[in-house]
Parts: sequence; C-alpha cells; structure tokens
Amino acid sequence: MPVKGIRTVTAARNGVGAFILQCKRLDFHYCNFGGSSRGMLAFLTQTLPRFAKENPQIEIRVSPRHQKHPMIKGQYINGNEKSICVRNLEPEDILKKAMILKDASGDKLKRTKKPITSLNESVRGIWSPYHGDLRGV
Amino acid sequence: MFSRSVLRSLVSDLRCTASAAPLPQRACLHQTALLRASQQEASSQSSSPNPDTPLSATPRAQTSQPDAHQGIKKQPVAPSFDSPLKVTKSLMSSLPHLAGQSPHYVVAELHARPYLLTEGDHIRLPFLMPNVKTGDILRFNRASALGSRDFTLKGSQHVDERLFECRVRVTGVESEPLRIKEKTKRRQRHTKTAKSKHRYTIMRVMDVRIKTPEELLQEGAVVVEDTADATKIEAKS
Amino acid sequence: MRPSMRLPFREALYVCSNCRSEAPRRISPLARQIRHYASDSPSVLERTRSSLWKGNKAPGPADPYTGESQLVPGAEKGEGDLAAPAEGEELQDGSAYVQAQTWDGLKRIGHTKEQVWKFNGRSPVDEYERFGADVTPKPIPAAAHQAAVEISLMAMLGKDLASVSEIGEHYEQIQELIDGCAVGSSETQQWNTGLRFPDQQTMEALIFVFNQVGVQTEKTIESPETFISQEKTSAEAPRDLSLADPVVKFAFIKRFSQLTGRRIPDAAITSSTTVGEIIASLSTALKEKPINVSKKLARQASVGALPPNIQFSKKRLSKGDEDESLGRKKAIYTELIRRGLIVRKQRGNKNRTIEKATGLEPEY
Repeated sequence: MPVKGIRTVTAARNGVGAFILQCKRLDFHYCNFGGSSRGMLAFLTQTLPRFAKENPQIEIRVSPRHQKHPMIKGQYINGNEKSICVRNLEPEDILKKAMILKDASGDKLKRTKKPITSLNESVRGIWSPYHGDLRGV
Repeated sequence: MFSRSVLRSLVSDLRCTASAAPLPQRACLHQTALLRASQQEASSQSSSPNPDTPLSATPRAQTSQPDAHQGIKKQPVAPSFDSPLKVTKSLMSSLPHLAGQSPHYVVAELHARPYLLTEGDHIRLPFLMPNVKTGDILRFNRASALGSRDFTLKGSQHVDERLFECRVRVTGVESEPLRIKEKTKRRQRHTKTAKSKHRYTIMRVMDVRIKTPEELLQEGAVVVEDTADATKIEAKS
Repeated sequence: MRPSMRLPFREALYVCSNCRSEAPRRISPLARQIRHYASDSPSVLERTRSSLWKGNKAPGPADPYTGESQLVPGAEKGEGDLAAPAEGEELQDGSAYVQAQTWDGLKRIGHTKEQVWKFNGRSPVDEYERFGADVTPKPIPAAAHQAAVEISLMAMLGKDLASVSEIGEHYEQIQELIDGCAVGSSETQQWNTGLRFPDQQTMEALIFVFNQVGVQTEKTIESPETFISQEKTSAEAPRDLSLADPVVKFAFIKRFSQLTGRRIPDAAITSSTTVGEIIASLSTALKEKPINVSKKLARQASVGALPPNIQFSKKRLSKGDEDESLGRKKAIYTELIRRGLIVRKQRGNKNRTIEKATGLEPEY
C-alpha cells in the first residue's frame, strides 16, 4: 500500500451531489416599436410566463431598450455573460435561443478533443518499473 | 436531533428500496415548482412527522417512490429481465475484493464508444443527446470492464448491468466555437465558406459503484458453476 | 478702413467701443459733410440711394436696414428730443429706487403684440381636446343606431341636426330609452317620420330631453300615436337610410364619428349615399398596435398568472439599477456626495433628487 499524501482542497463538481443550474439570470430586452421586436413581444406576453414557471431557479428580467434589436442576455454563476440577438425571430425560435442560454454552462466556448476530464487521480496508479512481476517477452 | 435520526432512517430505507427494486433507468430531477411541491407533499404525507424536512433531504431520484415522479410526464423505461442474474462461484468469491477496494472505474460504452469513468468526472459527449433535459439523471448500463486499483472485472462481451451502478447527470449543453472552412475549386475565384458549430451534451458522473455479493444475492442472483466464457475478475500482475 | 468710408454714427446699427471713444475727439470728414449740409437735407444713404436709382422716385422704403441707432443714444439726444430726461436725473428723482436682481416684475420691452399672449401663459381656454374625446367609443352598429335615432328625433322636432354632437354622452336612463327606440325600415327617405318609440312615456321623455339640446324649444308632436309601435323592431339602423340631404349627412357623420371615436375617410363620406355604405367603409380592420409588454405583464401579474421569478420594468435598466440590485448604489452615492462630486438637490415630487454638480468647486 503506497503512502498517500493529504488530499488537496475539494474542487467544485456541480452535479455529483446537488445540481445547480449555471444560468442564474436571463435578461430579455425588447423595443416597443421596432419591427424586429415583433416576435419578441409575442414571446414575452405568451410564452415567457410558462418558460419562467418551468425554470423557477432562473431570475427573469424584462426591460425595454428603445431603438435596438431585441436581445436575450444570460448571467452565469461563474460571472460570465452570454447574449444572443433575436431580431426578426418567431416566438418558437426565441424559445430555442432562451433554452440555449439556459443550458449553457457559462464557460467560454472551447474546442476539446477528449470527451472526459477528470480531477481524480488514476485509479490503477502510475506504472512503475520497480514493482510487479517480471515479464518475459 | 429526533428529526435528523428520522431522516437518516428514511434515507437508508430509501437506499434499500432503491437497490432492491428494478431501477429506473432514467430519472428526471428537474426541480420544477410543481414537482418540488408534489415531492414535499408526498414526503410530508407519507413519512415524516417532521414538517421541517430540509429541501436538500427530499428523496433523490434513486427513490422508487411513485409519488416523486408524478410531475414528470415521460417515465423512464424499467429494464425487464427474463432470467435471474447468474454469477459463477469464482466470481462470487473474488467479488468482495473488488467491491471493497474503494475508488472504482468503469469502462462504459455509449454508441459503441468506450468511456473510462470514475466518480466526479466531467463528460462532454461527442454529440448532442436527444430528448434529455438539463438536470436529468441517466444510468449507464453497458460496461466492458469494471475495476479498482488491483482488480479488474472484464465482461466476456459486456458486464451484466445488474452487477454495478453508474449514474451520470446531464449538466447542460455546450457548443464549440464556430468553425469556418473555406471550400475552393481550382481556377475559380469563388470561395464557399462552410460554417459549423456543433453542440454537445455535457454530463457529470454521479457515482460508480460495484455491488457486493450480499446485495446480488438479495436481488435474486443465482450462483452457478464456472464456465469458460464467464466474466472473471483478474488481479493486477 | 479709411475714415471716409465709415458710416456715420447715427447710421450705423453697431459701433464698436474703440470708435465710440474716438468719436468726440476727431470729427470725421463725413460729420463735417453733415454739418455742411442743411439739417433738413437728406442723409448720406438717402443721397446715395437717389443717385443709384437716378432720380427722386426710388422704390421701396427709404432705408429698410438701418433704424435709429440705439447704441449711441447720446449723440442723437443732444440734437433731437431734449424733453427726454437723462438717466442720472431719473435716478435722483426716485429716492426709493432699488436695483432689481431678477427680471420678475420688470416691464417687458422689445416684444410684439402676438407675444403678449405667449407671456401670459396657459389658461384653461387653451387646453385642446380631441373631438369626441369625452365619449367612450361604441361598436359600429350601436353607434349607427344611436346616431340615426337621435338625428331622426331632431328632425322630428325640426331643430338643427348637427347640434346633436353637443350632447356627448347621455345619462344611463336616457341611453336606455334611446336604445329602446328604432328607426323604421319602411320610410328610409324621410328622417322626420321614420322613428318609432316603444311607448308613449319614452316618447315624451325623449322629446323633453331633446328639446333642451341646442336652442331650447317647446315643440310638441301632432298625432303622436303614429310614432309608437309595439312590435319589436331591430336594434340596428336600417342600412338603406338615405343620406342624400347634405345637412342630414353632415349631422349623421359628425355624430357617428364622435360615437365610434374613429375618423371616417373623406372618400367614404363623398361616395356614400346611405347609412349602410358608411358602415361598410368602416369595416376595414384598424392597423394593429404593437403590444405594450409592460402593461400586459402587469395585467397578468395582477391576476396572479405570472410566476414570481419574472421582473419587468417600463424603463430601460441603467447602470444605476444594476448597482441598486447589487446593493452598492447607496455606498457609491454616499461616497460621491462626501467628495462633493454630486450635490443633493431638493425638488418637488420628482423622483430624481440627485444631480451632477455643475460647478467645479466642491460644496460642503
């Protein structure tokens, strides 16, 4: 049995025990008069209440921004912000965009090649030439 | 103090029932207000004389209580087995060693790709898994190998899914940065730009557990004589 | 500029301070010229002008640009009006003279007659109210029916038809009586005979009421039995009621537009000859107004249909709102005020009590 050192501080691993949704707030911005906000206006009055009811852990703020395209902004627990412009979109498409922001983890988009990232040390240990049986070729 | 002990007993009860009953393959822990309310109701009605049960202590998705799933429309399909689990004598004898050695790994297969998982790992599947929502709990039931530091249980093809538990939680959907590929043909000035931005499901491994022989016997496993192509536990050489 | 080219003081509208101080010291050659001419001879400009136009009959006003110079009044006063008292004398006369600090209460000078109206400010008379603003809009069939009944009634009484529009909205009881009446579909050409009342009482009441409209009259109806019909007539105005008479047409359209709260297009007015055509012209859908999100959400919230995690605001969220939601706004503002970068102002009932200081000096 090898000697084990003292473990380092625990790192946050969301989802192992409790799961907290990373998106903490969604800001919906619209313009009252702009034509590009037409779908957004319909979305805010019809679809949004149900969306909010399904996601009670997200704070939802609706506020106008005049003379601008409609936009959804997501605030995340790690302090990042993601925004999507939803100009000229239909309510269903806007819902999809809102779902994208809801499901996102808030991290920067990265290209990774390995599917698994682990904080644990290797279960089987590191191979050592001094241990174990000798093996013939 | 009283409430805590009651709670502990309740949780242990739930664990027992969870392992005994056929496990729901996929359970949703979507904390919708409706579901939470129903859960609270259920827990306050059925079990506890203590109404101040903290929210975190409400039964998790492992529970086989039907009340907890009332709010969910889509129920996971329970696995159906036509014959009880057959365990060879040699496996039965060496299984305690494997199950007792604590950190375990599992080589789970998903769409014929192996994923070596330990508890707490972060998985980013190379595809977007359909029909899952953020917060869902999935159970991986196909593994080619289970192991600990010194022992490995290798399946002849796959390890029987009743021998282990591996749960993952869907934590969201990520996407890669936009990739732009320029497509050109010879002797032409026209360039076509192909854009792609794939989306991937991200998950977190909740637990990897290998069942002990006692649990297996309790669940109705049958001990049989050794055969050549049965699953075996190999010790590290 | 050579001195000879300068305009004399009395001609120039503006004289710079340098020239003004120089003036008494040096007598310009022009001034000498002026002295040379008799006092009743025409001025320099006048003489130039007459020479340009070759004769005495120059068109237009004598000198449209230069009036009497106001900047050097002393120069003229010496020669001209001796009766006007000098400034110093006036000061000595009024012993209770107090120098004004603001212009309040001072006599206004230098404005035209039209501007007096502006200075007096708004009075209740100046308030503008849209035509028909005092009437809650009615649906088109109801409005057409009411207008038809009222105008028939006025025609029966032989009064000025357009004066119906002075009424605005009726009391509820009278409105009910009007709704009970109907315009018969048999006589569509004659407005004064088409009206049918449900009973005698209604007729008397309505005639009494409508006698008060416009110029008061005490007209009674001969043979009232003909206007009472027991049979239940339709509550809609007959579509083929004639609007051939321009007086009737004007009165009807005015009242109809007032009751519906809609403008009736000119093309529809000129082309239509019956009530039905007017109604048909209004059947086009109005342009859809954009949804007022905050209003709608407020309505939903008042019903309780909105989950508690939705917040909405009428105004754009600013940095200050963000600070406020994070709880640091108070700290920021107290620190700014402490450093004198912001001055707290007390204003009436306005929300904003804090304004940026205009001066650079900190105020404590």
